[in-house]
Amino acid sequence: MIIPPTHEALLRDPMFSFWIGTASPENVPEVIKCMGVNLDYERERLTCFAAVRFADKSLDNLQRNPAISLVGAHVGTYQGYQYKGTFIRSRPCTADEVEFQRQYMEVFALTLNGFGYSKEGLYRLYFSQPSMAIEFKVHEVYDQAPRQGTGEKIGI
Amino acid sequence: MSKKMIGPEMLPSLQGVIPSIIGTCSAAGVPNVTYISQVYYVNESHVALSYQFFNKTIRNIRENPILCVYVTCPITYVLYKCMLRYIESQSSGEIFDEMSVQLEAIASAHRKTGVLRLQAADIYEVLSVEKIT
Repeated sequence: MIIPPTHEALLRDPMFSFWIGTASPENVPEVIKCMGVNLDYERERLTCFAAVRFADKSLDNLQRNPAISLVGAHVGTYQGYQYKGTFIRSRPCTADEVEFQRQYMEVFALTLNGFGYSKEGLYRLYFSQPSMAIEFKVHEVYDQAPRQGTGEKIGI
Repeated sequence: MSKKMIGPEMLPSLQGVIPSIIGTCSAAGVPNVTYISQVYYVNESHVALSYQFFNKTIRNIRENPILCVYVTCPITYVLYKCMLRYIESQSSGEIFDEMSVQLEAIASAHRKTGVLRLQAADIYEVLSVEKIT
């Protein structure tokens, strides 16, 4: 699976809000907030950043069921995509990745502040360190814009 | 700490001010995540979700009725995680009518009038509620 080249910019856009989905071996779903995403050069793997305080159950799920989904939706237009794949590994975030998250969060919170949301409230809600980098190989990408017929598979 | 009921402190988070997130899982164990406009309060142990066009989500729920939904209080910015179990779909009646009206109001606020048309109100039992801190 090759992620479409247009998604390279999109995945770095702080106007997109990201969430990670996992499931236990008993098929109980779990969702956590993702504080930014990095796409690899081959456009095949994504590395998602998530706060440790939210991630325990998801990381446990991934050890036992490697299926993972990432949804990204634009906070203004609701343009959205879902990336489905297989977990590769997780590790503590590097200093550069923490800085990336800070920059992502700052623009994300400022943007939503323009829509009337509290910037401080959003930081309290989502931003937390330490954090983990969760890497997975993408197998499928779906269009998830809010419209009839949504869910179309895209990418190569 | 989790409980099984929706308390009054959670009601602002069910107004649709901040979009909610739901996670489902197929019978094959593949998770799916999507945004949802509205989590509707039915009573302290039941909520309804708007069935609009999230096709994969609906397919998953029919295969595996357990789902996870996150709602956010727009006043306190507290996040609540609710585990739900699907009970039934209603395409008419009081809950459906009230959800349709609320959904139109949410759509109007988000400049999506006519897009977020309700197809059914899906009723869920609340299995647990956890305040995420």
